[in-house]
Parts: sequence; C-alpha cells; structure tokens
Amino acid sequence: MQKRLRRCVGKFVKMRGSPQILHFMELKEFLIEDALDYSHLFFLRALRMRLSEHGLREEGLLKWMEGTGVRFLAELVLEVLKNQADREGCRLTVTEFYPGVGLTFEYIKYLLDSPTPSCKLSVRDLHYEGCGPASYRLKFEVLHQNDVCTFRYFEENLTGRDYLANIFEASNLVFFNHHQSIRYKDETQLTIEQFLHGTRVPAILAVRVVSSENDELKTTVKGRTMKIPSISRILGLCHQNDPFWCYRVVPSLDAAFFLPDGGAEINLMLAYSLRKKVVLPGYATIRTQAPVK
Amino acid sequence: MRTMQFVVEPFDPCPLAHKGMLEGGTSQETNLLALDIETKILFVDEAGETFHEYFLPNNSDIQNCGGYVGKVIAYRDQALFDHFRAHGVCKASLSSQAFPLLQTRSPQLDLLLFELIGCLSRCDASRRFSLFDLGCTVAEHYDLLDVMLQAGSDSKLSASSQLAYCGLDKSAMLLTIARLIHPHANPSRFRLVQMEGSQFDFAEAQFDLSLSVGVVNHVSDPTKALEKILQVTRYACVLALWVTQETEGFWSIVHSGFPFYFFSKRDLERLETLLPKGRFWVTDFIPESASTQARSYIGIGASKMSQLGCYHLVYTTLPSLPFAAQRLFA
Repeated sequence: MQKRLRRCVGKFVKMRGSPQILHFMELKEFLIEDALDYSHLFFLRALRMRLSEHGLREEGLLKWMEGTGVRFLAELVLEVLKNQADREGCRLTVTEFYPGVGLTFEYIKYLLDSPTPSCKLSVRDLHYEGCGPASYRLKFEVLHQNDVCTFRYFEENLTGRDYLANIFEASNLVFFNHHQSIRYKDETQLTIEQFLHGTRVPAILAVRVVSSENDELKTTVKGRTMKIPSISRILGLCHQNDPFWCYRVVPSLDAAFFLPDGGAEINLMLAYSLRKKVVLPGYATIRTQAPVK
Repeated sequence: MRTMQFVVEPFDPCPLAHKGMLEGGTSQETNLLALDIETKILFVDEAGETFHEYFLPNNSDIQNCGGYVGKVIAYRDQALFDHFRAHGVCKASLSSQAFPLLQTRSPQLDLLLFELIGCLSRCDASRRFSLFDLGCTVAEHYDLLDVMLQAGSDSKLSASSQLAYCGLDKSAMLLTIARLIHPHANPSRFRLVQMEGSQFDFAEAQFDLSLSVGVVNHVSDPTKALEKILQVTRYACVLALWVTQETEGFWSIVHSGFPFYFFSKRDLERLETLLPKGRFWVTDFIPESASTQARSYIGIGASKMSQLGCYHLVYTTLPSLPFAAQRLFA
C-alpha cells in the first residue's frame, strides 16, 4: 500500500488561539540535529564541571534528552565496565560503533566523575574509541579534545575481515549503537549480524527492534527507509554468539521518529554479554534460542 | 514484511505573500502580539490533513547553537589552517569552494577585524588589542581570529597572544558553551559577560575594537545600543547591521517571536552627527532576498522584504582603512 505525503521542517508561528499559520521559517535539518546533539553534550559537561546557572536546564531539551536513551546506554556501559575493573588503576578500552558526536562517551565521563562514584574506575582509566562515518570525525575530535580521557575516532572502513577482528581484540568492551546509526544519512557499513558474528569480547547492543516475529521496513521522519529487525531474530543471533547475553526492552522510546504505518511497535532493546553469567538488575537472560530468519 | 510505502515530497505550508499580515502596524501593536511557536517536522496527507508531527525543542538558543558550535568545529579543522597558510588570509582565500563556510557573513567580518588588528599592530607590534564582541554566543569569532592570526604569522601570533577578548551575550546557555569549548582560555584575557545587549556600561573608548553581527537590531533599545558600542570603541567597530531602504526605521518580529528593529539610513546619519569623532564606512551590502536565512521575519510580505538588507559597516576614528570601503555618508 502506498501513501503520498508532503513534508516540511521548521518553525510554525500562529497567533495564539488561531489555527492559521501566520509564518513558516524553514530550518536546515542537519543544523537542528547538530544543535540538539551539541546542547545535550554541553548539558552533560556542565553537570560534570559542576557549573551552576548554566542555562541548559531547558524543558524542551530535557524532554529531548530523555528520548535519546543516552542515559540508559551510558549506565549499562558503566555497569559492564564495573564488572571488568577488578583492580584500581586498570585501563579499559571501550569501542563504540556509531557514536554520533559521542553523547554516550560524554555521559560515561559524567558518571565516572560524579561526586559519589560507585566503581573504582575514574575517567583517566578509560580509553574510548569511536568508529563511524567520516562526517562525524571532526565533530567528535573537537568536542572531546582538551579532556583528560583519551580517545580516538576512526572512520568506518571495513574492508578485509581482519580489520574488525583487530578492533575487537584491542577492546575490553565493544558497543554497537544501532539506535544512533538510524539517525545517519546513509546506511552503515557494519551490520548487527557482522558485529555479533565477530565479537568474542564483552559486548553491548543498543538496537531498535519491532515486536513482531518478522523484520519490518520502516520510514523515519528524516525520510530514510530501513529494515528494523524483529526482537526475536536479534535475540537468536545473540544466543548464537554466546549463551550469556541478557537484555531489556525500553518500550516506545522516541517512537514518533518513525512514520505510523499500521505495523508493529518499535522499541529500544539493550543487550549485553560479559562472556560469563552476570545478570544485571532489570535485565533478563535469553532462555531459549529464537528461530533465525 | 512491508505494511505501507511512503512517497514524500517537500512543501511550503505558508508561502510568502506580497504583503505581510503584520505590515502597517505600529511598534506598540506588534509588541502586543501573543504568538504560539512550534518547531517540528510536519507531514500532511493528500487532503492536507496532518498525518504526523515530530516535535523539536523550540528554544532559539538551542536551535542556533548548531550553527555557532559548528563554526568553532570547522575553524579548528587543521585543513582550514593549512588552507590559510597556503593561500594567505585574504578575501580570495575566503572565496574558496573548499570551505564554503568562509563565504558566509561572520568570516567576512572577521577578516575585517584581522586586517584592522594587522594595521594597528604595525604601529605597535608588542601591544595586545582589546576586542568587545557584542552578542558573542559561543565566541566563535575568537576561534576564527585565532586561526587567522596563527596562519598569518607562521604560528608566532594567536588570539591568546594578541587579544584581550570580552564577549557579551544575554544567553546563559550560550555563554556556558563558550566557556566549556574554551576550557584553557586565560580568564584575564578571555572574559564572558552575561547581560542584555543594550544594558552594558563600559567606559568610553575602553576597547580598541568591537564587533556586533546583527545583535543591536534585536536588543531592547537598538539605537542606544548602537550608540553605546560606538562610544566604547577607540579605533573601529565592525558591524553587520540590518537596515531598510525606507525613510524611517521600523520594528518587526523575528521567527523566535522577539522584536527586531530595521535601522534606516537616517538613523545612522543622526548617529554619525552625534558621534563626530568617527565615520561609517560600507564594505558590503547584502539584500535580504540574497540572505541564507530567508523568511526570518514574521508578517512581512515580499514587497517590504525587497527594501531590506544587511550592511557590513565599519565605524572608525582611523583616517583610513586597510581594505576597500566607501563612506556611507559623504
């Protein structure tokens, strides 16, 4: 079934109480996306630096930040790292695929720097690697430069099967941020399947999934049409990777990002494996192997 | 697998009319309007009914910070430094297709400042110059001047060595970002002040140079703010000033819902008479029709819009300028 729609992005001005649009000003989409990412990142940094009166505690921004799910991701990464840091001063390398401008990275720094840290790790113990499109390299590097935490951003260039293996081997934790990658203009090179097929180190997945048995094609508000995997298929792939994967579902997070099409609900699934049996609060084990389509 | 396939095309929900709905109103009337403003991605179906909406934060500071921070990021690209080193810091290098950002308004004005700094340095090479940036947002002008000074001097000079910078903005958010994105700036030479743009109270000729890109147009008292920035500047004030070709200036409303004053040439002539130590020089005029931010003003139709534009001006007490410019008033 085909549906024809017309679309615009910008500021709509109406006289109070009137339905008539008085004025419309188009906004450049890439600028809005960047603006929200930057505002979010600097909000976290202002908290981390204990700046008061920072002016970033704005209602619209707070609501937006909740919808990104960055808090859930960063808290999960930290919990996984806590389980790996068995002694003080040990340095851990986290590699995130498709980090965007590095919001999860910034949130992790904030959590590690908080006044009552719940783990032995400090920001200085962390080395962060981000892998993604070339268009994000300069943004990532400038936004995180001059910080105590070392990092590197490398552009995805997954030619050669050893490339991925080398990345996995050099990392203490690898993290596939499908949730962020669906906001990119183009498809990513690395697929969830390749990620799960290749990784043997502790790993995290943040995936948008549909509640139906089969994958579904969905269209985002940015106009990209993509295949959203079924939760059962992803769980099956995780189970094939190793039996220790655990997961939770955040229902309907930022659901409006996709056009309503009468299909299955889209949720955010967070999953992790520590390569040993560790079930974090709020997570469940994958008890049975789901059929892989 | 597929439930519905979408065919999407862009549309304009409110095309610009010849005459705007708010034209002809007095300043008082436009100031009394209550507006509802939403920022969103809107989808309508073939019947024109809303099919889907995706709301975005409405705050202008948040929306604008994409551009401001984006500039700082672009300015810190090593490739830009290499470009200036290879081609010089000049009008020609700002016209390069390799860096389209340099062709926009702010870099053009920063080039004027760079050349003024160079001119003043020839008289006193060891001096640090004070620069007042009215409406500084995230202090992106500081970053481009830094690249220009470094590239133009084989890295012997920089913004931190040449400038005592004072940025003023009303937005706590943008100043916080300015502070966080310049974490190592020496606070004695990189000062940020939060204040409404017409309320500052600096001494006469306190700053060697000053800069304002459109800010005086939308403060609470534009004429006063312009007079004040000229008074606190010793040598030269670089301005982007929005004007109308009509006889009298007028108030409009920008897309964020705030008042915006278009100066007339008569306003500027009065000011030049009031402050006879200096003169206005024009380096460029960009009609609003050629603006990259089209339709920023609510309720103004195409006809009135054709009268509007932006002057790139320098108000200076110097006898001559190190770049091409024409006197605004003979």
